[in-house]
Amino acid sequence: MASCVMTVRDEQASLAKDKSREGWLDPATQFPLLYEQEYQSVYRTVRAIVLDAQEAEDLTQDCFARAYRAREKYQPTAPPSAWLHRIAVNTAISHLRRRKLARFLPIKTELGSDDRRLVQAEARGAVEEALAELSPKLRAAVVLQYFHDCSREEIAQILGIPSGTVASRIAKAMAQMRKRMGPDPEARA
Amino acid sequence: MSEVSRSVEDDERIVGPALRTEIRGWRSRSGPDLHDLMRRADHSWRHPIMVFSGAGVAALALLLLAAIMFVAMAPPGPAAEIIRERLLAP
Repeated sequence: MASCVMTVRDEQASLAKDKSREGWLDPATQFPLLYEQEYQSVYRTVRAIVLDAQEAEDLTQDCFARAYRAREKYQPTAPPSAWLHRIAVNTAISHLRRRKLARFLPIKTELGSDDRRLVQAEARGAVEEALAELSPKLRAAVVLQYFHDCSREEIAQILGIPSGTVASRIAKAMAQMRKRMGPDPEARA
Repeated sequence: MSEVSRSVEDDERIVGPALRTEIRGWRSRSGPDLHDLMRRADHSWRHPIMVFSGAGVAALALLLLAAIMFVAMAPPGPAAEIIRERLLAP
Protein backbone atom coordinates (compact mmCIF):
# COMPACT_ATOMS: atom_id res chain seq x y z
CA MET A 1 0.00 0.00 0.00
CA ALA A 2 2.76 2.32 1.04
CA SER A 3 4.70 1.53 -2.12
CA CYS A 4 1.54 2.16 -4.18
CA VAL A 5 1.10 5.57 -2.53
CA MET A 6 4.73 6.31 -3.14
CA THR A 7 4.35 5.33 -6.78
CA VAL A 8 1.35 7.62 -7.27
CA ARG A 9 3.20 10.43 -5.50
CA ASP A 10 6.28 9.81 -7.60
CA GLU A 11 4.18 9.93 -10.74
CA GLN A 12 2.53 13.16 -9.60
CA ALA A 13 5.92 14.66 -8.79
CA SER A 14 7.23 13.54 -12.16
CA LEU A 15 4.22 15.06 -13.95
CA ALA A 16 4.67 18.31 -12.02
CA LYS A 17 8.34 18.35 -12.99
CA ASP A 18 7.50 17.69 -16.64
CA LYS A 19 4.96 20.51 -16.52
CA SER A 20 7.51 22.90 -15.00
CA ARG A 21 9.94 21.93 -17.76
CA GLU A 22 7.48 22.94 -20.46
CA GLY A 23 9.01 25.69 -22.54
CA TRP A 24 12.55 24.80 -21.54
CA LEU A 25 14.77 24.68 -24.58
CA ASP A 26 16.88 21.56 -24.88
CA PRO A 27 20.53 22.63 -25.39
CA ALA A 28 21.32 19.38 -27.20
CA THR A 29 18.73 19.89 -29.94
CA GLN A 30 17.78 23.59 -29.76
CA PHE A 31 21.11 25.26 -29.05
CA PRO A 32 20.91 28.03 -31.72
CA LEU A 33 17.50 29.09 -30.38
CA LEU A 34 18.76 29.05 -26.79
CA TYR A 35 21.79 31.08 -27.88
CA GLU A 36 19.62 33.78 -29.52
CA GLN A 37 17.24 33.88 -26.59
CA GLU A 38 19.77 34.04 -23.75
CA TYR A 39 22.62 35.97 -25.35
CA GLN A 40 21.88 39.46 -23.98
CA SER A 41 21.01 38.10 -20.55
CA VAL A 42 24.28 36.17 -20.28
CA TYR A 43 26.18 39.19 -21.66
CA ARG A 44 24.80 41.38 -18.86
CA THR A 45 25.78 38.86 -16.19
CA VAL A 46 29.31 38.58 -17.59
CA ARG A 47 29.63 42.34 -17.92
CA ALA A 48 28.50 42.87 -14.34
CA ILE A 49 31.28 40.55 -13.20
CA VAL A 50 34.16 41.75 -15.41
CA LEU A 51 32.93 45.39 -15.72
CA ASP A 52 34.40 45.76 -19.19
CA ALA A 53 32.14 45.89 -22.26
CA GLN A 54 34.71 44.56 -24.74
CA GLU A 55 35.88 41.71 -22.53
CA ALA A 56 32.27 40.84 -21.77
CA GLU A 57 31.52 40.47 -25.51
CA ASP A 58 34.39 38.03 -25.91
CA LEU A 59 33.66 36.11 -22.72
CA THR A 60 29.98 35.76 -23.58
CA GLN A 61 30.97 34.03 -26.81
CA ASP A 62 33.44 31.86 -24.86
CA CYS A 63 30.72 30.95 -22.41
CA PHE A 64 28.37 29.85 -25.20
CA ALA A 65 31.21 27.95 -26.89
CA ARG A 66 31.76 26.04 -23.62
CA ALA A 67 28.03 25.46 -23.29
CA TYR A 68 27.87 24.23 -26.90
CA ARG A 69 30.62 21.68 -26.26
CA ALA A 70 28.86 20.52 -23.07
CA ARG A 71 25.32 20.62 -24.51
CA GLU A 72 24.93 16.84 -24.39
CA LYS A 73 25.81 16.79 -20.66
CA TYR A 74 23.01 19.19 -19.66
CA GLN A 75 20.72 17.67 -17.02
CA PRO A 76 17.18 19.13 -16.91
CA THR A 77 17.22 19.57 -13.11
CA ALA A 78 17.40 23.35 -13.56
CA PRO A 79 16.31 25.62 -16.43
CA PRO A 80 18.84 25.92 -19.27
CA SER A 81 19.20 29.64 -18.47
CA ALA A 82 20.46 28.75 -14.96
CA TRP A 83 22.86 26.24 -16.51
CA LEU A 84 24.13 28.93 -18.91
CA HIS A 85 24.51 31.48 -16.13
CA ARG A 86 26.52 29.02 -14.08
CA ILE A 87 28.89 28.57 -17.03
CA ALA A 88 28.97 32.37 -17.52
CA VAL A 89 29.84 33.07 -13.88
CA ASN A 90 32.60 30.43 -13.94
CA THR A 91 33.98 31.74 -17.25
CA ALA A 92 34.03 35.34 -16.02
CA ILE A 93 35.59 34.54 -12.63
CA SER A 94 38.26 32.31 -14.24
CA HIS A 95 39.03 35.13 -16.66
CA LEU A 96 39.50 37.60 -13.79
CA ARG A 97 41.81 35.13 -12.02
CA ARG A 98 43.89 34.75 -15.20
CA ARG A 99 43.97 38.52 -15.62
CA LYS A 100 45.26 38.92 -12.06
CA LEU A 101 47.91 36.28 -12.72
CA ALA A 102 48.87 37.87 -16.06
CA ARG A 103 49.96 41.04 -14.24
CA PHE A 104 52.85 39.08 -12.77
CA LEU A 105 53.90 37.53 -16.07
CA PRO A 106 56.30 39.35 -18.39
CA ILE A 107 54.53 38.06 -21.54
CA LYS A 108 51.71 39.96 -23.24
CA THR A 109 48.47 38.04 -23.38
CA GLU A 110 45.24 38.95 -25.10
CA LEU A 111 43.57 39.81 -21.81
CA GLY A 112 43.43 43.56 -22.50
CA SER A 113 45.85 46.36 -21.83
CA ASP A 114 46.05 48.33 -18.60
CA ASP A 115 45.53 51.58 -20.56
CA ARG A 116 42.18 50.44 -21.88
CA ARG A 117 41.08 49.39 -18.39
CA LEU A 118 42.14 52.76 -17.05
CA VAL A 119 40.03 54.57 -19.68
CA GLN A 120 37.07 52.32 -18.89
CA ALA A 121 37.44 52.93 -15.16
CA GLU A 122 37.31 56.66 -15.77
CA ALA A 123 34.14 56.33 -17.89
CA ARG A 124 32.24 54.30 -15.28
CA GLY A 125 29.01 55.59 -13.79
CA ALA A 126 28.05 55.51 -10.12
CA VAL A 127 26.53 52.03 -10.28
CA GLU A 128 29.55 50.53 -12.04
CA GLU A 129 31.84 52.28 -9.58
CA ALA A 130 29.87 50.74 -6.72
CA LEU A 131 29.95 47.32 -8.39
CA ALA A 132 33.70 47.65 -8.89
CA GLU A 133 34.12 47.88 -5.13
CA LEU A 134 32.67 44.38 -4.72
CA SER A 135 34.43 41.07 -5.24
CA PRO A 136 33.53 39.23 -8.50
CA LYS A 137 31.48 36.65 -6.57
CA LEU A 138 29.50 39.38 -4.83
CA ARG A 139 28.87 41.07 -8.19
CA ALA A 140 27.59 37.79 -9.59
CA ALA A 141 25.19 37.34 -6.66
CA VAL A 142 23.95 40.93 -6.99
CA VAL A 143 23.26 40.79 -10.73
CA LEU A 144 21.47 37.45 -10.44
CA GLN A 145 19.26 38.72 -7.63
CA TYR A 146 18.50 42.28 -8.71
CA PHE A 147 18.55 42.03 -12.45
CA HIS A 148 17.60 38.46 -13.28
CA ASP A 149 15.28 38.17 -10.27
CA CYS A 150 16.65 34.74 -9.40
CA SER A 151 15.58 33.22 -6.10
CA ARG A 152 18.14 32.56 -3.37
CA GLU A 153 18.00 28.85 -4.20
CA GLU A 154 18.60 29.49 -7.91
CA ILE A 155 21.53 31.78 -7.09
CA ALA A 156 22.91 29.16 -4.71
CA GLN A 157 22.67 26.58 -7.48
CA ILE A 158 24.33 28.85 -10.04
CA LEU A 159 27.17 29.91 -7.73
CA GLY A 160 27.51 26.48 -6.13
CA ILE A 161 27.19 27.79 -2.56
CA PRO A 162 24.61 27.33 0.24
CA SER A 163 21.55 29.61 0.07
CA GLY A 164 22.39 31.04 3.53
CA THR A 165 25.70 32.22 2.11
CA VAL A 166 23.83 33.87 -0.79
CA ALA A 167 21.71 35.87 1.66
CA SER A 168 24.72 37.06 3.65
CA ARG A 169 26.68 37.88 0.50
CA ILE A 170 23.83 39.95 -0.90
CA ALA A 171 23.27 41.82 2.36
CA LYS A 172 27.00 42.58 2.50
CA ALA A 173 27.02 43.72 -1.14
CA MET A 174 23.97 45.94 -0.66
CA ALA A 175 25.51 47.62 2.38
CA GLN A 176 28.76 48.26 0.48
CA MET A 177 26.96 49.57 -2.60
CA ARG A 178 24.68 51.80 -0.57
CA LYS A 179 27.67 53.35 1.14
CA ARG A 180 29.01 54.19 -2.30
CA MET A 181 25.75 55.25 -3.96
CA GLY A 182 23.60 56.36 -1.01
CA PRO A 183 21.85 59.75 -1.03
CA ASP A 184 23.97 60.92 1.88
CA PRO A 185 26.89 62.73 0.24
CA GLU A 186 29.04 62.28 3.34
CA ALA A 187 28.68 58.54 3.04
CA ARG A 188 30.13 58.65 -0.48
CA ALA A 189 33.27 60.46 0.64
CA MET B 1 17.15 42.39 14.53
CA SER B 2 14.38 44.53 13.02
CA GLU B 3 16.86 47.39 12.68
CA VAL B 4 19.18 45.13 10.71
CA SER B 5 16.39 43.92 8.38
CA ARG B 6 15.13 47.49 7.94
CA SER B 7 18.63 48.54 7.03
CA VAL B 8 18.91 45.75 4.43
CA GLU B 9 15.53 46.79 2.99
CA ASP B 10 16.70 50.41 2.83
CA ASP B 11 19.85 49.32 1.05
CA GLU B 12 17.77 47.36 -1.47
CA ARG B 13 15.35 50.27 -1.98
CA ILE B 14 18.19 52.61 -2.85
CA VAL B 15 20.49 50.30 -4.77
CA GLY B 16 18.08 47.87 -6.50
CA PRO B 17 16.31 50.26 -8.96
CA ALA B 18 19.55 52.02 -9.92
CA LEU B 19 21.20 48.68 -10.54
CA ARG B 20 18.35 47.44 -12.73
CA THR B 21 18.31 50.65 -14.80
CA GLU B 22 22.06 50.54 -15.31
CA ILE B 23 22.22 46.87 -16.29
CA ARG B 24 19.19 47.15 -18.60
CA GLY B 25 21.18 49.72 -20.56
CA TRP B 26 24.01 47.25 -21.23
CA ARG B 27 23.60 45.68 -24.63
CA SER B 28 26.13 43.70 -26.58
CA ARG B 29 27.17 45.65 -29.68
CA SER B 30 28.20 42.62 -31.69
CA GLY B 31 25.12 40.62 -30.66
CA PRO B 32 24.74 36.89 -31.10
CA ASP B 33 27.01 35.57 -33.88
CA LEU B 34 26.45 31.87 -34.42
CA HIS B 35 29.17 31.62 -37.08
CA ASP B 36 31.82 32.98 -34.67
CA LEU B 37 30.49 30.74 -31.92
CA MET B 38 30.90 27.61 -34.06
CA ARG B 39 34.42 28.68 -35.00
CA ARG B 40 35.32 29.13 -31.31
CA ALA B 41 33.76 25.82 -30.33
CA ASP B 42 35.78 24.04 -33.05
CA HIS B 43 39.07 25.76 -32.24
CA SER B 44 38.87 25.77 -28.46
CA TRP B 45 42.17 23.88 -28.15
CA ARG B 46 43.93 26.92 -29.60
CA HIS B 47 43.10 28.94 -26.52
CA PRO B 48 46.38 30.60 -25.35
CA ILE B 49 46.24 29.14 -21.85
CA MET B 50 46.07 25.63 -23.29
CA VAL B 51 48.85 26.36 -25.79
CA PHE B 52 51.07 27.82 -23.05
CA SER B 53 50.33 24.92 -20.70
CA GLY B 54 51.12 22.39 -23.43
CA ALA B 55 54.33 24.18 -24.40
CA GLY B 56 55.35 24.40 -20.73
CA VAL B 57 54.82 20.68 -20.15
CA ALA B 58 56.75 19.81 -23.34
CA ALA B 59 59.63 22.13 -22.35
CA LEU B 60 59.83 20.58 -18.86
CA ALA B 61 59.81 17.06 -20.31
CA LEU B 62 62.63 17.99 -22.73
CA LEU B 63 64.65 19.57 -19.91
CA LEU B 64 64.25 16.47 -17.76
CA LEU B 65 65.26 14.23 -20.66
CA ALA B 66 68.31 16.38 -21.40
CA ALA B 67 69.32 16.29 -17.72
CA ILE B 68 69.03 12.50 -17.58
CA MET B 69 71.07 12.17 -20.77
CA PHE B 70 73.68 14.57 -19.43
CA VAL B 71 74.04 12.58 -16.22
CA ALA B 72 74.10 9.23 -18.01
CA MET B 73 76.48 10.24 -20.80
CA ALA B 74 78.73 12.72 -19.01
CA PRO B 75 82.45 12.23 -19.69
CA PRO B 76 84.27 10.39 -16.92
CA GLY B 77 85.70 12.54 -14.18
CA PRO B 78 85.56 12.89 -10.40
CA ALA B 79 82.59 15.32 -10.46
CA ALA B 80 80.60 13.20 -12.92
CA GLU B 81 81.21 10.11 -10.82
CA ILE B 82 79.91 11.81 -7.68
CA ILE B 83 76.81 13.11 -9.45
CA ARG B 84 76.13 9.73 -11.07
CA GLU B 85 76.54 7.94 -7.74
CA ARG B 86 74.22 10.32 -5.94
CA LEU B 87 71.50 10.36 -8.61
CA LEU B 88 71.55 6.71 -9.58
CA ALA B 89 72.04 5.26 -6.10
CA PRO B 90 68.92 3.44 -4.85
